[in-house]
Amino acid sequence: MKPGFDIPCETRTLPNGLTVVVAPQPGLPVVTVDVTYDVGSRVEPEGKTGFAHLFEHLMFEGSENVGKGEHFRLVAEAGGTMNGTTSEDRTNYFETLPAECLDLALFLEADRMRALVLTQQKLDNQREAVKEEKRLRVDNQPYASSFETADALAYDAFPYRHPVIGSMDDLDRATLDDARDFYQRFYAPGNALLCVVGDVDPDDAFGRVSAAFAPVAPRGRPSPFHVEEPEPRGERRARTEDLHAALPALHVNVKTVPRRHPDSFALLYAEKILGAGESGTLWRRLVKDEEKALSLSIHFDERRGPSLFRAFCIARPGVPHALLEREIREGFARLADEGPAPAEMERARRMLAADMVRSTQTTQAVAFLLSEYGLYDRDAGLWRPDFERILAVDRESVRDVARRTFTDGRISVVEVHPAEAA
Amino acid sequence: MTVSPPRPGPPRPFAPPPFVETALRSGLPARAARWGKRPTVAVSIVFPGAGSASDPAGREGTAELVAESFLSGTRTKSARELAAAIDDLAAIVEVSAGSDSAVARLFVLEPDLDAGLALLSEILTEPAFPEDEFEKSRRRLVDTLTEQRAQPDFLAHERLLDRLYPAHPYGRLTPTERGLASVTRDDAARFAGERLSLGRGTLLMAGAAAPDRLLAAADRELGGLPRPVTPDPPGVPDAPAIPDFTVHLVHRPGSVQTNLLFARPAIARSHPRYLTALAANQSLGGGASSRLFHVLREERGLTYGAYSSLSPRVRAGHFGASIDCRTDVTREALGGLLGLVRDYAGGGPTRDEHERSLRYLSGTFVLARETPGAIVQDEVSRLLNGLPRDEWATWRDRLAAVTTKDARDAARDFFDPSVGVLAAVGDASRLRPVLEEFGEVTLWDPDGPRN
Repeated sequence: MKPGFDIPCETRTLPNGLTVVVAPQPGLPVVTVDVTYDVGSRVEPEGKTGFAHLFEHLMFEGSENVGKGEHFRLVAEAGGTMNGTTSEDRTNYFETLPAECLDLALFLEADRMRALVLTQQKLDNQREAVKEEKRLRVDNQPYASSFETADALAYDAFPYRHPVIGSMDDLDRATLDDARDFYQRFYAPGNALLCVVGDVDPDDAFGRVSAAFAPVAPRGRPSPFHVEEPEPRGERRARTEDLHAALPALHVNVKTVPRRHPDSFALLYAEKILGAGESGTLWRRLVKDEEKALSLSIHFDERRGPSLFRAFCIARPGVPHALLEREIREGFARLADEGPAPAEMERARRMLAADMVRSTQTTQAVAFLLSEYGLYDRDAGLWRPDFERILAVDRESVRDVARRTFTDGRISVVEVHPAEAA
Repeated sequence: MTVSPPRPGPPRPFAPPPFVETALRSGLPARAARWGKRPTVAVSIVFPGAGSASDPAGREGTAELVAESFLSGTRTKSARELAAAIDDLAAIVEVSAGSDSAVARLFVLEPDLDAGLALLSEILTEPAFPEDEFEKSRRRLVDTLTEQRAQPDFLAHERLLDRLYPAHPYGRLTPTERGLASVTRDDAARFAGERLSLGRGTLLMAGAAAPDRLLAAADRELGGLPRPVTPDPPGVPDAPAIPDFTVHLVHRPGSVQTNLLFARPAIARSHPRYLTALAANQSLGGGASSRLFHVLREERGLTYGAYSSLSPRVRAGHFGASIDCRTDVTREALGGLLGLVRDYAGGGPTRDEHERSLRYLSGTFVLARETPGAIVQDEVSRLLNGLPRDEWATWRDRLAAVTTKDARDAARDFFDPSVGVLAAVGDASRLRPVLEEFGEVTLWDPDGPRN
C-alpha cells in the first residue's frame, strides 16, 4: 500500500537560526503560517506549572509594532483565523489567511519573536483569563480533573506529571521577571520552526520570510531537554471522587515508548484494532454488544518522551469499575497473546492510510504535520518514510510489541467515582 | 505603531465549484462537484422533513432513534458484520438527525467509492432494525442523557431551547427519556420507510474526481433502486412569540463557574436579511476581535471568552450571546454582557467595525471551504433552506454590499435583549440573589422543573 499523494516541501535556515519550511499547495488561495517553539509544559519546574501556556497568552498581547488587541484585529480584518496551543512538548502559533495576506502573518510573527512587549497589567489580565480557562475546561467539567490524576500517577518525572494548564497557586505566583526570562530563553529564532503551507511560490515565500525575519537577532538556544523516566516497576492505582460526574469512569494507562520509537508504529495498530471505527474490538464489546460502557476511547498519546497508551471508559449505570478494568486488561492481553487476526490487521492498515489522507486536507493540518517533524526531528519530510513504515507493520510485530507493552508493571489505573455535592 | 503592518496584495479570485445537477436512472436527484487535493470523496444523502422537528406526536425521539439504529444491521448483515464492512473500507458512515432533516453521510477514499456507495445504499434501503439492537440504541440514548446532564454547557442549552421554543419541536435539544420510552421498533421502521425513503432524498457528492465519474459511480450503485412514493411529512409549526424577558436558573451543585446563555427570536436561514444579520453579529460577538470578547475578556478580565451567534433553522432562528465566568463575578459579567448587547442593538456597529467584519467574513468564507465535505455541506444547507442556485457563487458580492446602516437596522430588529430567555447554570444558593436583579428567576434541577 502506498500513500497515494505527496506533500512537497523545502527547508532552509536563516542566518539568525530560524528554520523555515515551505510547502506549496496550489489551488485554493489560502495560506497557513505556523511558528512552533521548542518549549512546552515539560520544561516547567515545580512551583511554575502552567507558565508555558500562560506565556502563550502573553504572545497575543502586543509587540513593538503591534498594540494590545491588534493581533486579533489585524488577522480578523484580513479575513483570517489564528490561535496558539501549548502541549507538554511544544508551543505553536498559527494564522490561516487568504494567500495575498501572507506578509501580514509573517510581520506579526516576526515582530513578536523580535520584540514582545510585556507589562504587569498584561500579565495580570492574562493570568485571570487562563484561570478562567482552567475553571471552564477542567474544574467545572466532569472527568477532566481525573486526567490530571491519571498523568500524575503514570509518570514519575515532573515534566509529564503535571498538567499543561498548571495550578491556580502557581499561576498566581508567576511574575513579570519570569515572563521576561522565559521569552529570552525559549523564544529565540534558533529555538523555533516556521512553516508556510498554501498557495505560494516557494522561492517567493522564502524571500518574504527572509525579509520579515531578518530584523530578528539571533539569541542563544536553550540546552536540549529530555524527559527521562525510570523503568516502570509495578502497577499503580488511584481513586478520585468527581463532584461533576454522573457516572463512574475508569482510566487504564500504559506507559510506553516515545514517538517514532520502532514500537510506536505497531502501537498505532493496537489503537485501531482495539478502539477505532465501528468495529474496534474492545469498543464494540464494551459499548455496543455488552452495554457495559457508555463510551470508550483508546488513544496512543505519543510524546517526545515516554508516551501513554490510554483507555478511558465511562461506565453504564450499575457496572462496577472492577468489571470494566478486567475487560480492558483482557482486551490488551488478547492482543498480546494471540496478536491481531489477519482481517483486523488489514482493516487497521487501511484506516491508518485513510487517516493520513483525510488529516492532510487543509493547509493548517499540513503545517502542523510538517512543523512537528521539522522541529522534533529536523526533517519535515520524515512523515513520508514514517508513513511507509507504518503501512509495512506486520501482525507479528503488533503481537510482539503488545506483549512487551501491555504488562502489569507498566499499567496505572484510576477509578473515578461520582461524589455528592456538600 | 512605529512600523505599519503590510497591506494585503490584491484579492485572488475564488469561486466555489459549480455542482453538476442530474438525476440517476431511478430519478433520484443527484449533484456532484469537483473539489479537494486528496483522493477522497464526501457523499451526503439529504432527507428533508426527517428530523426531530417532524417526530410523530407523542413519539418525540423517533428521528434520533431511527438515525442511531441504521447501523444496527441490514437484511443480510448483522450489526457486527456491517461494522466490519464499513471499517474494511476505512470509510466513515453515519446517519444523523437534525431538527429539520436527516442526513446519511459517507466519507471514503476515491478507489473505494463504488463499494462505499453500495454499502450506503444497503444501509438505507435494507435496514433490519433488529429488536434487540433497537433496545440497545434506546438504552444508550437514555444513558447518554444522564452523562450529558452533568455538563454545564449542555444544561444551559437544553433549558434555553426549552424556554425559547416552548411546546415547539425546536425546543428539544435531545430526545427526552419519556419520548424515547414511547417509540417502538415498528414506529422506527415506519418512520425510516416513509421519511428516509430514496423517494424523498437528494444525493450530493464532492471529491477530487470529475463530477461525471462521481455521478457514474452513484448511478451504478444507487440508480437501480426503487424510489417509493411516501406521504409528505407534517410541516413544522411557526415558532411561538416570546413576549418578555425571563430568567431560568439550573441548579448544579459544586459549580465553580456560572454558564450564562441569552437568546431571543431572530430569523430563519432563508430570511432575506440573514446575511445582514450575520455581518451585524460579527461586529458584536463573532470572534476574538469583536466587541464582546474585547471588552469582557481583554479589558475587564471577566471571562475566558464571550461571544454572540445566530442559530438559524428552516422555520425560525434565534440570536444568542454567551459568557462563562467564575461565580463571584456573575453580576458584573451578566450585566456587562447584556449591557453591551443592549447598546449594540441601540446603535449597531461603527463604520470601522462593520468594514472589518465584512473583510473577516469574506476572507474566512474561502478558508472554510478547503475540503470536499465543506462543499457538500454548503449544498445541504442550500437544499434544506430553499436557497437560490447562485447562493454561494454570489455570497461574497452580496456581503460586500451590506452597509453599516443595514447592519445597524439588523442589530435593532434582531438583537434587542429586552425580550428573550436567559439560561444560567451554576450553584443556585449563590446565583439566585444575583440573577433576581435581572428578572424573576425560575429554578430548575438538571433533569427538569424543581419541585
